Amino acid sequence: MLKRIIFSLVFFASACVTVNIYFPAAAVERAADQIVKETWGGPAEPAKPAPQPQSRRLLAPSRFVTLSFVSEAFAQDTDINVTNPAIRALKESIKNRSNAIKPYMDRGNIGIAQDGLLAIRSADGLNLKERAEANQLIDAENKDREALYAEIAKANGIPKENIPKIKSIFAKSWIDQAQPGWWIQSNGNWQKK
Amino acid sequence: MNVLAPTPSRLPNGKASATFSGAYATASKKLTVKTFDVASALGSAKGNGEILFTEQQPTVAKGALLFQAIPLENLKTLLPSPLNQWIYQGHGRVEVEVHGAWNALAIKGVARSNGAQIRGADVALENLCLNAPFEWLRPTWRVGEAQLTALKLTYGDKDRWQAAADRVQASATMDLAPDQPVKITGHLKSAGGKFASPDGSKLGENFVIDGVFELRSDPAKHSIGLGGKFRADAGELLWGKFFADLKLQQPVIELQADYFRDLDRLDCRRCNFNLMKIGSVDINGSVERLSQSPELRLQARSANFLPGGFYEFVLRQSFHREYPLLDKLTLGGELAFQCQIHGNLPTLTTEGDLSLKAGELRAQSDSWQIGPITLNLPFQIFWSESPKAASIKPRIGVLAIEQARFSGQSVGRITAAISLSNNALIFPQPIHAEIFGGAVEISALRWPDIINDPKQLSFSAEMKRLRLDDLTQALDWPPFSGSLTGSIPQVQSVGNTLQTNGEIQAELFGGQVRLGKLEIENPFSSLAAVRLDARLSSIDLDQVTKTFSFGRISGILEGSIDDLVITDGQPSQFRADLHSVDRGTEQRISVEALNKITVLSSGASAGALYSGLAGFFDSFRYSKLGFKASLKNDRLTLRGVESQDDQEFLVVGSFLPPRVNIVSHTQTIAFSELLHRLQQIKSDKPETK
Repeated sequence: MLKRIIFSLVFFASACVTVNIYFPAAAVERAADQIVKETWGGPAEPAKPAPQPQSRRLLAPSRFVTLSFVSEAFAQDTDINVTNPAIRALKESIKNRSNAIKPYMDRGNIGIAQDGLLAIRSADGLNLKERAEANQLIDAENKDREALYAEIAKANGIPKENIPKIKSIFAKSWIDQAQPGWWIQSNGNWQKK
Repeated sequence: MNVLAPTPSRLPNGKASATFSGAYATASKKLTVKTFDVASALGSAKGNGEILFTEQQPTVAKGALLFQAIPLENLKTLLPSPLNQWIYQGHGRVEVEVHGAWNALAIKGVARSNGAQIRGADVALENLCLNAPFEWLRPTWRVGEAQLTALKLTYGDKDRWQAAADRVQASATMDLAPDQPVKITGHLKSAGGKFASPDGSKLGENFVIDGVFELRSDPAKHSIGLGGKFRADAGELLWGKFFADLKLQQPVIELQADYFRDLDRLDCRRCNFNLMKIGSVDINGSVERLSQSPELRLQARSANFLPGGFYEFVLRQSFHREYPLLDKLTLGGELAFQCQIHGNLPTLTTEGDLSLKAGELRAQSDSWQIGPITLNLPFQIFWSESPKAASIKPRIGVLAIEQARFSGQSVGRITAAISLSNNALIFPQPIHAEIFGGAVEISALRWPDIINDPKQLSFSAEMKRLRLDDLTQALDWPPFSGSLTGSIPQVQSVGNTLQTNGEIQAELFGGQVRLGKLEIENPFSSLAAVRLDARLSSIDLDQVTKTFSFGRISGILEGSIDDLVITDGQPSQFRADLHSVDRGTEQRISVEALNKITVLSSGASAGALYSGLAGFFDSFRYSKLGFKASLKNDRLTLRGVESQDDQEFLVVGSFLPPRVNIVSHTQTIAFSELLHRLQQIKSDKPETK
């Protein structure tokens, strides 16, 4: 009887459901690069094919829910979805606004903060009307970017608490694809790219 | 706290000595003072004169005294606090003429200074030039038309609010008599004025201010009166995202106020603030405990407030980048209001009456317009986080919209009772509008707290036989036939979503469409999303295909569309199951419709095939048509009405000829591809056989 109980306990212990939570970081990186290029860069390139999942990446604490019985299953690191009407509208809005913002970026008045959002770096050379316009552009742009990250999360079933990860990945893309001469914030200090 | 008040002046400490030389003529009883030298802490002076001793009182026939190079620093003991704590650099000069009987001497002269500098704890004046004629006619001192110019005035330091002006010019006249209030009247002009908040987010520049003022200090009442009228001819203002060019508005402020020092109370007899393109507001009343926790008892009124001007000046300019829709709207009309403002800052209560006449809301493109609007609204608002419980029955006002126009459709007069009390904006009676050949009635429309939570609202709606051809024309859609009737017993804000109970029923294309579970997510954002379920029954396909120029299909369609979400005017997700039902009526499909279904499902035109067949037939019989589809993240998954092996049948031919099947092998279509296909079938010319 005792053996049977022990056997049952061992069986249930080894047969419990394993939930691995993964975050599709690589796919979000590719999406971020593509969206930043489409909205603020040159003409969009077709999305690169998703590389085969690497075991190291899959073991990283990203998010994807899989269920396995006894053994662990890995999520496929496929491309995430970055197109639906809400995302399209936000991308369009960001793209349309970019031409108004870029002159301020070129002059060093607006820079890219560490979190990938825009911020006033210096008001030198701006009259008050231009300062107000810069403030309005930054405010509208940052709201759109935050909304974009939330929509991407929603479209791909990524929980809200992981939106900061999406924001962080996008921040890298905004910074990487910034034009030479633009100002980037790093460790609280502004540096010219 | 430093309060403004008259302060007794005293001469600086120190010795004073005087030497003089002269001659006395006994015959004429005249003392001629040839030289008169004074040395004192105030400075040195030289003078001369003549004194007659012919009368009972000695009389100064003429006397002149010149104080030169008076160190201004030595004069500060004459000044009230905090002026006597400032630093004064530079020198002054005073010329004095004296004449008259000894007990009724008349003195006049002029005080001058050039290039002086004054620095206080927060204030600095540079290049100060003063020219102040004065006169003493016992018992009154008068300073007449004193001219003061400073080339630079600064106030504040970098961690606090700062203000500065490139040039300040003032002329002033002062009367000083025993037991009488001190009165100073004058004219002030400043140019190059600017200010800045500590964080630099609020700035003003290039202010040009011109105005007259009157200052009155009454020692008996311990009061100071301030009156004046100032106009800003130029200036630019930045307040966060708000920018204003004051040249366009030329703001004018007129003020008549008294401050009572003992009571710490400000009585505002009149304060009028006027902006050229917005209108003016008059305020009067009192503020108790001004220097501690101000308690307001004010009345405010305006007879000419222009909401259109306010919209352009404040709202549109500040928020159009965030809400581009604002650039497409125009507001009109004239507001008048009168209200009482009372309570402690920041928890004020405002109550009064507001009226709007000739109000108008219009698209700049003139595609729609609402107005004239007339509003009479009694209101009671609490500027605090938790409104007080209403103790009295709210007063009721009236909103009247004379006309509304949408793309050729017009709505007749709408009137509604309205109240704004205890922060709740309520329409206590149903709002009835005759529109699109039918009627819409909105009931129990209510914003529970428009101050602290303006996005929360609730209402119920009923639509009676709205003609869909008129409605679709107004929306610039293909013209639908039929009518729309429905009842939504409850629409309520839940978080950022407007949720509904009930159902809208449309008599559409010979059948019925029932819309339920209607929700609007983020209704006040630029990315509002509409979510609903739809049930279709007995839809006449012939009418549908004619409306959408989709060839011709006869038969009856039924089915459902669940979880339909429309974002930015486009469907972003749905699950649809739509299929024909055999009610014994004819079921035929034209060649054009077949071709369009083929294009939609496969992307390839089957024109050649159908044109070959169409040489023999105009249409084909079918036994079933339909599809099951789901859209999510721009991917449409399409399945047929029947499946066989890997084949999805969108159209299943009948047993009787001529018959046709459409079999789909592609089950997932990208949204961009779907758009391409829709464009393709739209551009295809119908084939007429």
